[in-house]
Amino acid sequence: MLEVRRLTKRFGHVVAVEDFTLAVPEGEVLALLGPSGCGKTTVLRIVAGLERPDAGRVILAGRDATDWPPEKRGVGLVFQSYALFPHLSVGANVAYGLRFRRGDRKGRVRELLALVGLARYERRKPHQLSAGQQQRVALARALAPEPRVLLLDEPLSALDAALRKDLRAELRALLGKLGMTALYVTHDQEEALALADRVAVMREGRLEQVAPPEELYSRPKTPFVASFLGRANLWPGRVVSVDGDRAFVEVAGERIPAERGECREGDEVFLFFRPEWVEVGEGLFTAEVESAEYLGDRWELRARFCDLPLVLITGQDPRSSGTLPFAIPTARTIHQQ
Amino acid sequence: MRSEQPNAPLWGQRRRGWRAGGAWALLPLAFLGLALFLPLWEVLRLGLQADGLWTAAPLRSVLGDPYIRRLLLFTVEQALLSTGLSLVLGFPLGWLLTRYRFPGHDALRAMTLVPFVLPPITVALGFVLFFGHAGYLNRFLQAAFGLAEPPIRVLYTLWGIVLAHAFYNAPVVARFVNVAWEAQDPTHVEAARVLGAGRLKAFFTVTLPALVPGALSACALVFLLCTLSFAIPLSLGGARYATIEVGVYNLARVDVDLARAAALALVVLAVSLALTCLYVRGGGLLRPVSSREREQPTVPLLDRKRPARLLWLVYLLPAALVFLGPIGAVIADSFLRPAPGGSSPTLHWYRIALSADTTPFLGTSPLGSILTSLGVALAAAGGALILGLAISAAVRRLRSRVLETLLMAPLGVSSVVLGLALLLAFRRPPLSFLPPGPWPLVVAHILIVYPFVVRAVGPLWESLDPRLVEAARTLGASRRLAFLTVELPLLRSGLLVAGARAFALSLGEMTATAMLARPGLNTIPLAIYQFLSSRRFGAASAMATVLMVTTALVAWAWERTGRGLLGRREKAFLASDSHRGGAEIAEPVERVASGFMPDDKAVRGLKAVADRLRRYREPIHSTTDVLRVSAVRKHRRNHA
Amino acid sequence: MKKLTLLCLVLLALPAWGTELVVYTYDSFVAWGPALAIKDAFEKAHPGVTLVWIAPGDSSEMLARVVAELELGLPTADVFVGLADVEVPRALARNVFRPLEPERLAHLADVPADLRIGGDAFVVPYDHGYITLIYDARALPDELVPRTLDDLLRPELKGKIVLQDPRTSSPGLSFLLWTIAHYGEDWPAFWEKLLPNALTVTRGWTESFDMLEAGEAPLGVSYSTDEAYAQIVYGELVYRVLTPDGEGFHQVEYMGVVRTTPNAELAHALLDLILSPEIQELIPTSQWMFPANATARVPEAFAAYAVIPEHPVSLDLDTVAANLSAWIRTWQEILVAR
Repeated sequence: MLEVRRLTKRFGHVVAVEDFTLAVPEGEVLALLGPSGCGKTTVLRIVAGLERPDAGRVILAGRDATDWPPEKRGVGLVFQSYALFPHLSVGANVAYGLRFRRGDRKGRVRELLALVGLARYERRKPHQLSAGQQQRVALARALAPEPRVLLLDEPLSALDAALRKDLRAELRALLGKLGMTALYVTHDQEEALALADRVAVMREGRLEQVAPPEELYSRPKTPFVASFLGRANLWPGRVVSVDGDRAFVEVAGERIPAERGECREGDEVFLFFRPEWVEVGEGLFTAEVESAEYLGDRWELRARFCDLPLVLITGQDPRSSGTLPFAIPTARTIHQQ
Repeated sequence: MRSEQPNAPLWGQRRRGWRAGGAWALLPLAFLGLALFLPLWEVLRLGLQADGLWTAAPLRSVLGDPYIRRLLLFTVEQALLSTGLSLVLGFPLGWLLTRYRFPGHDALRAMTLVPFVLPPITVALGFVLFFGHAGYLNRFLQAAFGLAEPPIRVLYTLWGIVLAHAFYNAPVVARFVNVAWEAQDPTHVEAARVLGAGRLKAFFTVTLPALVPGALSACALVFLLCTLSFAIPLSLGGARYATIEVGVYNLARVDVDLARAAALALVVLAVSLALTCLYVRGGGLLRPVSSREREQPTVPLLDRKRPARLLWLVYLLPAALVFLGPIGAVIADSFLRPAPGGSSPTLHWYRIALSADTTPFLGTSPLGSILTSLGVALAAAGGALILGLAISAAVRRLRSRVLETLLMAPLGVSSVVLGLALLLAFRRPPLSFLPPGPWPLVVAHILIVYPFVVRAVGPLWESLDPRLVEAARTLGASRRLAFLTVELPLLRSGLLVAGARAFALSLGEMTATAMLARPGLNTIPLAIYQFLSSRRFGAASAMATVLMVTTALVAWAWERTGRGLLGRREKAFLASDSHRGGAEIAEPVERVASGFMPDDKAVRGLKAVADRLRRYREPIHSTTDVLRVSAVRKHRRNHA
Repeated sequence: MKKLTLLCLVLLALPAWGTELVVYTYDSFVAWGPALAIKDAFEKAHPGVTLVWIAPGDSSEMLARVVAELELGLPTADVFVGLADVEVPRALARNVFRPLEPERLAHLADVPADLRIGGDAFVVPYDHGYITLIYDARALPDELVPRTLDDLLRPELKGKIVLQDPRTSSPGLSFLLWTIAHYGEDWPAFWEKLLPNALTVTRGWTESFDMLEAGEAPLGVSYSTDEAYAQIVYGELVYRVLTPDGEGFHQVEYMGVVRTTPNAELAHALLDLILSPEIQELIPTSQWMFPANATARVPEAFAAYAVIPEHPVSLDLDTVAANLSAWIRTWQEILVAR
């Protein structure tokens, strides 16, 4: 449904997007995730037609839309700041995109407001609504003209944490119900993992990895993806031997088994494992605990193993001893770049 | 591979901006080319050519003329004296408004705006009626003290002009000082006090130095305004005292020596351009920097424990006399001056001022003058709005300093020069093709008032969220439709305010009007001047009162409309402040509209308004809060 | 908005339909003089024609206006009434008037030859009088009344004298020429002392006389007929005429047809009407001047109180034409120098 091919966009000397290729099949919600300034909003604006790429194409429903003005693209856009028209009522805001098409506009407005749960607010002005309500109006407005693709630019980031979680669930349900093709830009990994069918991670204008959330979390392809999503232990090492789908990585003089992935013998790799994969309390290795943070249901420990930093999670009070035995039953390799 | 090739920037952001911006710039450039640059070229040609050859001879001859040199000298002299007196009269007022609380404080503050809506000719009339030898003040003093001779003799002297200029400009100084002072962070003084400085020492070492930029800026502006003053020296100077502006008028319209008029006009043009550049450039540097977290503390003026504060009366009473006397005299005179039969009070003068019969002393009927004035003002306001909007749009997109300077050029052209230029240009094609009518006046007034529209609309537009347009675009609106359905409605209140201001300015304009006057074409200010100079004071007063009331009505209407529009759109915005809201909004707009006032606070006010329009997160409960927006935000964030 | 403007303009233009004869004159000719009587008589004689007097300033100012309008190609007057003899060279140099057709002016024969100039080629006289000083007998003590021009320089008179600007007003110009005739080469020295003594220099005679009437100043330049005015209007001699050194400057006032007029025939008819005894007899007690038509009867009170100076002063018009701009420039420099 939506495809961008080898997009490049520079602002002056700053490269915002470089050689960026991505496809979103019909009905999929794809989250574009990355730290702020990584170019994800630029990709979104290029898709919407608000920026023109220096190179690359935008394909919408199989047709090259690179040169189309925004009003001809049939995309819906929800802004971070909602950008509701302050001089128009809620109803008129939603109807704005309908003034260019025929049919029962009033009915459509009501339908959409009902969809976002704001049926009674049609005559209000935007400033009379709460932030969450404004967000829903922005969504209804973008959906009204039945866009081919819905673009969402950090739509929840201006809300407070509790509201954000509620709306996240609502949004997920709504997008699923409508079967919308959507591109969802966010810098919040939790949001991306919770909402999207697939997540694309961007870094400095380039695409790092696209994958379903579970795969992205457990099998990151790059150290950046590994550390950007959740907590990660990354130890530099070398593959000393390979045995079927297992590889042995030498780290600080120890040979540690890991899932082989794509590595070969002699490769310089990172040994990657999540803190929660570690078994604490028994094992061959000994960690020197440096500090512990109590997080209610668990402790998070900062420790060292042979001078390598290590993050551990444990359910017991670890402060009784300065050293702690542990094992790494599950680990994967990631190529050093 | 196709995607390897870089895309030609067909409608890329930058190129698109240039194309659309260029379209917007086209109308103003065409208008200015025909109505300003071509006419100025005529002046240049006439003033620098002899027998078809370029030469500096006319210029040298004009500058070598001892009379004209005297005019130049007098112009500078009176401008310096006026600036000094304005500072002396205005500084205490600024002080009073900043530091003290007293009943009528807000009214007094609002009254410092009055000179901006008061046409100069009414001030001149007021001065003749109030300070004249047979004026109200002298008659009162003579009656009170049994004097045979009128004790106050300022009229027809240099001091009459200086005093009238001070009347006009002391409020300007007061405003600047007030703005600069209120922008000061009170903790600076507190720090000085804690470090051991006494009250006086703290004032002289901390407060005063921080006010210097504001005061200097005010002085530069007042000097500029006084140098280019016309109606006041024309009416109060008698034959003896004339400024260069009056000099150009006399050469062009009394001596009918157009070549010399053009040569002197070039001198005036150079002076006005230089002074305006100096003010605009310097004004930017001198603008007070606001960094305060708290409001300036105020103390009550009337305090039993501090009778010394009553010394302010020593300032306030004479000031009230200077400021209220002339205006009061005009209004009083229009009713009290005995009619020919001797009856007083009388409406006789209003019957004359509103009569539809042709009066030989005007060349038209007074009612005709009023209708012409209204028609011209309406056309000028409409034209200025269109032009101002187009220029704001062009400047906003193209971001070219050269273009901006070019498009705002009329700010630096004195009205007399503008009048002369149009007078010359309307003699020949293409402007002579226009059908007969008040076109020269309309064109001149548009040129004089549109910069104020730009200065009122520009910042407002600048502060609109660009995403609103983008949202409209993604919803299917073309660029043009997005402008019509989103930007224009959001700019409407600003446009109305600017339009009303333009209307009022045009109503009071007399300088270019006097240059362009032609048989059968008279405006209210010209009629007042003609009644005044033929000493038909009653008719002049009635006419001036009509003008003041019309202007006040317009001012009131724009305040109401501005408030109404905002109120309808943004109820929360003004909800708890419906009474003062409009005035306070109109005020910064007014100040920006006045073109030269410190736009720091005004722009901040406008931005805050627009901010509210586009973000409406925290409702502002009082428009004075506009100034405390950041503080409010912080406060709320802490409580959230 | 535009439509409303157009409507206003149309409304303003409406009265312009039908034939109009526009006459420029100085303000006092309308405020005091026979202008309205002339309008009535003329419109009665020429049905369908409207006579419009336009008089927002003194004579030189109005002349400047015609000159400006001619040079700038603006519509202007058909007839100009009220040109002082000393201004005639200036007007002729600026090519303001069209040649007259004396055969259309039947009453011109009754005007004495010594008032007529230039063979009646461009302008004809309609009245004459004497520029003198006048003072308010109620406000100026006897010992201060000047007997000579030099007396005007007495410091006691400082701020009590009202003068007119010779650049804009014909009495002002006449007074300047009087002092030039009186003092010869030394006139600038006289003015250097006179100007600081003056209260103000007004643009026109109307303002200065009004200041006298309003009591703002007791002494000024005006006409020798003002005693007659005081006697007839106030019933007592509140204004006294001064003929310092027995002098007064003789002033003849002229009228002519502006060269661009499309209504030359009506214009001549108007000039002839003004020269007719019917109008000429109104001149003494409205315009407070001597009529130009010798057959016009003058009221006895006027004849009794109108002062005729012992030594009327005048200047040769060719000398005036040759020197006027230099004199004015010198005067101007004295005015602004301090």
